[in-house]
Amino acid sequence: MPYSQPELSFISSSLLNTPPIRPDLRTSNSFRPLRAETEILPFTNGSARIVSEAGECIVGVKAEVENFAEHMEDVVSKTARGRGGVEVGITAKAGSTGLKEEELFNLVGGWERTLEEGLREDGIEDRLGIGRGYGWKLYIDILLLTTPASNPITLLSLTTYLALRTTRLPNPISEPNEDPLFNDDWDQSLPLFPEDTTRPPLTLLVTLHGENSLIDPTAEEIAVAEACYTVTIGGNGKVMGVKTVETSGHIVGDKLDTWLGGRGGVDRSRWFSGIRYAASCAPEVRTALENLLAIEQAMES
Amino acid sequence: MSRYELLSPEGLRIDGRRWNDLRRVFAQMATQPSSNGSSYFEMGNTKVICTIQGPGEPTSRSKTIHDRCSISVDLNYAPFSGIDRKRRGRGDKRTVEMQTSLENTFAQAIRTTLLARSEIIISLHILSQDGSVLAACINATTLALIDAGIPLTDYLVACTSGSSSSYSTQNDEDADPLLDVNSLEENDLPCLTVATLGATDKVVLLLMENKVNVEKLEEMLAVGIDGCKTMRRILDTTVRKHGKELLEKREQLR
Repeated sequence: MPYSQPELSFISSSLLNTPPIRPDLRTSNSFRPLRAETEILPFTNGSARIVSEAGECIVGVKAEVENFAEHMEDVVSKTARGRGGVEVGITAKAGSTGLKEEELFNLVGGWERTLEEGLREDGIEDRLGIGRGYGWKLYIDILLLTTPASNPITLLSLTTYLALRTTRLPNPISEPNEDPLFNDDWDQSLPLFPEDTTRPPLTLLVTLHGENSLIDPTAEEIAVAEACYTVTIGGNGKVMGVKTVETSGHIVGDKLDTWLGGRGGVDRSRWFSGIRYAASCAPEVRTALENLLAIEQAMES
Repeated sequence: MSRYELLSPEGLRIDGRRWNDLRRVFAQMATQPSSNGSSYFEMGNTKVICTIQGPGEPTSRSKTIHDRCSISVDLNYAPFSGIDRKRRGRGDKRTVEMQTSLENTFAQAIRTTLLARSEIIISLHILSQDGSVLAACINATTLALIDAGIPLTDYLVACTSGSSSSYSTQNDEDADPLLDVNSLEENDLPCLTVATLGATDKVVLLLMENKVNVEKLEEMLAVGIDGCKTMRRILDTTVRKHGKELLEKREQLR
């Protein structure tokens, strides 16, 4: 534990104010400054990189044609447009982080599945179908370069969002009942998320401090949080998943009591208010990311 | 005979370069605030990120050397780096071999005796591979080491060269050596990676895994070393530019 009791007590009491006073003076829904780039890797279908105080994350999306017909039983679906598949993988090297593989798993464990599930829910697999049992297999590989002391989920989610939004797939020129054939021209490629589709899900990390909920918490804020959980919000605004990350501090009365165990737990109503807060922040985050993509595109053309 | 026309009748290569042209080099230093030193290095479509942790307390007792520092290299190919998606495991033989040769190479450039009983951890992430991966790793590491303020005797720079000899077998005499090979050339031609200490002719690392005529080897080496000299100039420009920016920032803060 890197923080002393007076430190924890100070941070906690500032965060319990209305409005909360965060150590870096952010408002409760603002993010740490970050720098983002998209389409940085020539061998991928879509890629993005975000560097922030929270660390550095690079995401590459690759699509490969696969024959899914073997898994299908009826003839109808074999001749129909077919389906694709999604696979998410996270790589993070312990080398520069000092973290062990298991510790990292504890930080981000299971988020891959949440993302896969979220994308599937939005019907991405149908859009990945090419025809005659063939479909795109989408590999989303996330590279976390420095695991920060705080939880990197928000960083991973933002970078993945950008990478998915820049992903383009070659345009098929074959009929659905033929073997797949594609247009070589990259300018003719189709975006994975056309304008009229639901956007990829976003995952935000939330901490609870008394009546306050914080977005994008730092390590010291997590250390004094009553509860810390990730909220996954789908493109349609629905909450798709909630996962408790860690609970370290407990408020007893009005003072933080980290050294006494066995007093955890947060009221149902406050737990819900945190989820609602995250869900209300998501559209704004999405708009910010979309603006960023628009700027990148304008710079290119 | 190869499927691709690696050298056009006019003597231009597949990406339009002449025989002694380097690909576009783009380098950045201090890309990551949370590490002791970091860099980003691009040679054409080969892209590498390097971060340095240390010099610091060795992570394990076996890494402690009493009269100098130990160097650990952690190399990682991103699954999306190649043409096909491929995950490489921890114990991948080629990766381990590259790690070892990088450790040995940098032990010759770093003033290890000044940092006794400490450890330097070099992590390299290959984001995109299009030939000359080892050379790009070496150049990236040099920049990151400078950013970390680790004493070096000189820039350790690397470059690759190939020979078009086996390609034009009928007239082997006038086969050209090629500087800085990309992945298409690397797959079809005999190639070598050479690393030198600064602009000197002192070769620190030489790696070649193909069959080639001895005279051609000499030519390739000469071209490679010339490439290293150019590379040193490029790295030096990057470092100076970075230093200047840092100084300007400091002036502004005053």
